[in-house]
Amino acid sequence: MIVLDNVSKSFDGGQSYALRNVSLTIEEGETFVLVGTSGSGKTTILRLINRLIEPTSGRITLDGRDLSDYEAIALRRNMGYVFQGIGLFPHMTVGQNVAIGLRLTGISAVRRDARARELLELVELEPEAYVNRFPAELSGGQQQRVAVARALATDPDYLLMDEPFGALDVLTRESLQKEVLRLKEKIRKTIVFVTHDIVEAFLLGDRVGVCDQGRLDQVGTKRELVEHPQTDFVRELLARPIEQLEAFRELR
Amino acid sequence: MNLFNHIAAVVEQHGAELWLRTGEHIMLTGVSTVAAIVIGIPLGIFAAKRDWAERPLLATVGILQTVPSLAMLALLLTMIGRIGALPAIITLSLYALLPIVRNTATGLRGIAPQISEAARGVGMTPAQQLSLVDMPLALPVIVAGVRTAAVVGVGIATLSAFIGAGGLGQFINRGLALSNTDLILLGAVPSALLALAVDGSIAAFQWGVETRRRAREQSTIWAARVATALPALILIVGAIAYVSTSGGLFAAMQGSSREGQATLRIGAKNFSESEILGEMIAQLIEAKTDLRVERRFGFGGTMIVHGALERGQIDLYVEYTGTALTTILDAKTMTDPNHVFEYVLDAYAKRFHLIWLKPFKINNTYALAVTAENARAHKWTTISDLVTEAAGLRAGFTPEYSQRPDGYPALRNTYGFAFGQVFDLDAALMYQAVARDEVDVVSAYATDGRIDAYNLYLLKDDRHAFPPYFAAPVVREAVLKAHPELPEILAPLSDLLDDKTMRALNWQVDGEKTSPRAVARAFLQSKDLLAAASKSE
Repeated sequence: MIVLDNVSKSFDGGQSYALRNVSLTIEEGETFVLVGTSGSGKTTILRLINRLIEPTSGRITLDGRDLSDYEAIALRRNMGYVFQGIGLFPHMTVGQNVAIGLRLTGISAVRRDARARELLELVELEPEAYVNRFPAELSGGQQQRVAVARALATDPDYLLMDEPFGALDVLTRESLQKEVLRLKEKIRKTIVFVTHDIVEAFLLGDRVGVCDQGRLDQVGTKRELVEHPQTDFVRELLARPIEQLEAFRELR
Repeated sequence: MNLFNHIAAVVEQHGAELWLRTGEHIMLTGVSTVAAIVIGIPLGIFAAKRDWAERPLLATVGILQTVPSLAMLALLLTMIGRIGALPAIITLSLYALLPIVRNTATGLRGIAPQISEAARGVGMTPAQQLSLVDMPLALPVIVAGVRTAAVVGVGIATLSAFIGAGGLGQFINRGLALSNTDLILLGAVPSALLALAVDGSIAAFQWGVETRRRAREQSTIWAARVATALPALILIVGAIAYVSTSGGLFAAMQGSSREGQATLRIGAKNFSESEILGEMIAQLIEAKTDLRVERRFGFGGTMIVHGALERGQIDLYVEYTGTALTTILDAKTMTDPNHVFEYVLDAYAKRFHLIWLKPFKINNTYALAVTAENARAHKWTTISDLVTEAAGLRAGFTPEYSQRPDGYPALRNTYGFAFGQVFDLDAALMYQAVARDEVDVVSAYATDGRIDAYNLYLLKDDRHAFPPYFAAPVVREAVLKAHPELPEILAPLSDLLDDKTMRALNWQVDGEKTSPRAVARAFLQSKDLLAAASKSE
């Protein structure tokens, strides 16, 4: 369980805030989706949870313990992270990328290789064909599958995913979304997923949090959000796909 | 085909030495480049990780590189206080720092922020991030910096010969001293080829590293392995060349620690006369004693060779009384030859524990030379004869002569005139210039072989403006005590050598391109001085 208690983050010594007074509880085993426009602070929340940055004020606890009590490196190793854009190491093979977390803790090369193959299979990439290739030789969708495999390699309790499918075409994105749904059932982990796409958020999330300009406007299930939108921004966000759909219908 | 025969002959004649010098050159460049890598990469990492450090650090290594190479060598020589490889290696390392530090910093800073964030995000420690991600990604840029450093190093290493560090510069140095183009090329061409080889080997290394990472076919992997090993291969060849021949870099580094052996190390400055006299002494000692003689010729200046003698890195060399007086002892100019000799004899013994042996009858003083034709036409015989016409005359002087207090300034003070125009000319060009009537008067050394060859006339220094420059062997007191027979062995030389003889011998080297060794041998044989069982060659 991850709890953010009145957390704020400023990158310029208090002149402006990327995140302001955010309180949030992410339950064990749920898939929690943060949705919002770029600059809304959703990635900042993810980076705070992974201790890539420290909060300016407020408190974050993980399983009841203050996050700053954990050793940052050990904490990160226990959280799989799928990064926005290029997160794979270009000079390492697919296999090396997947197993990097194991390498850091000194697991033997033989066991790393076995685990990498196992994970490639899990994300539906043929191990024999991909394990020795380099990221640059793969399509965007394949690269993201590798990134997901890498995040799962150390069998972490938490999985943080930062707009993993943002740069992909619609068809690839759809198939990967299905993949995540399938994995969700299979691996049963707490997933924090960041996206700007409300449709993706509703598809994947057990609960959804809406971020706008550094604030968390509303947290709830799909139904709660649709039935009781609490701010104009939430209302607008939910209206947008319907408007798009209607505009599309008119064209036909 | 004539050219080929000529090249083959030159290379064959100097084959063994070429091998040694190439080895020294590779060792000088290799050791200094490796040192610069060891120091430069951490500095570059530091510059990349600490914003405040980058500018001052790069500025510092940048300034180091703007110091002229020779000045840097001379500076380190005085700071370290010994000749040979050490100051040369330090100089070369300092030069190599800039490209390595800069490229390391640039390479590291060029890594995409997303990659760095990912490295931290997966839980790498800073050290793991550096070794697993940052360095491998920056490697191509860093290797490019090393490549620049190494190639520039091969070039600058040629200057190391000036401070007795050996290397291919030794040939260039000697070639310049003896105005012998063959020797200059024998140093310049191999060092250029070496630079190309070094450049190519590091390029191959770069390719090899890239390829080995990506290659799947066994043959490509092998090719990549071989390519990666090429720079090391050059270093190994250098080390073999160097170790297989004694008396190279290693000896220079060891310096004084070899005193115990029955070896006499004879030095010489980098001009013909110094080498010829050095050779004569060496050959006499080889013929008359059981001592092993080691020749350490080609020192690029009085202070350097004197320093080597003082610190016991050589045992003996031929110095000139006037040079000792003004350059080493920094004393007031004196013109009486006996006074000068007594003064330096006394001062050297007291201050340095160095002993002057009996001088030769060679007075290689400064002189003014005109063409014999002009001397006759204008009835010039002494320097005083020039006084009335001086304002209309063109003079060509070596830069050294223009500046030294016992050179042109002494002339002006003593005779009270200045020439209308003064050109700074290289010694070799100076004689041609006066012979072609491009200048009227040149500074000359009284024993220069070119005086007779160009049919020049030496004006008599009737008012004694120039101090005497009598040549004499200077030997370390301790060596003289150990080998008291040395003065007697060398004594015959002082009676046989005079200015005219020396001019002829110098011309054989400068004009006829005979080696100092051969000239010395022929002279000594003609005087029957090598009669006693000669052991060497």
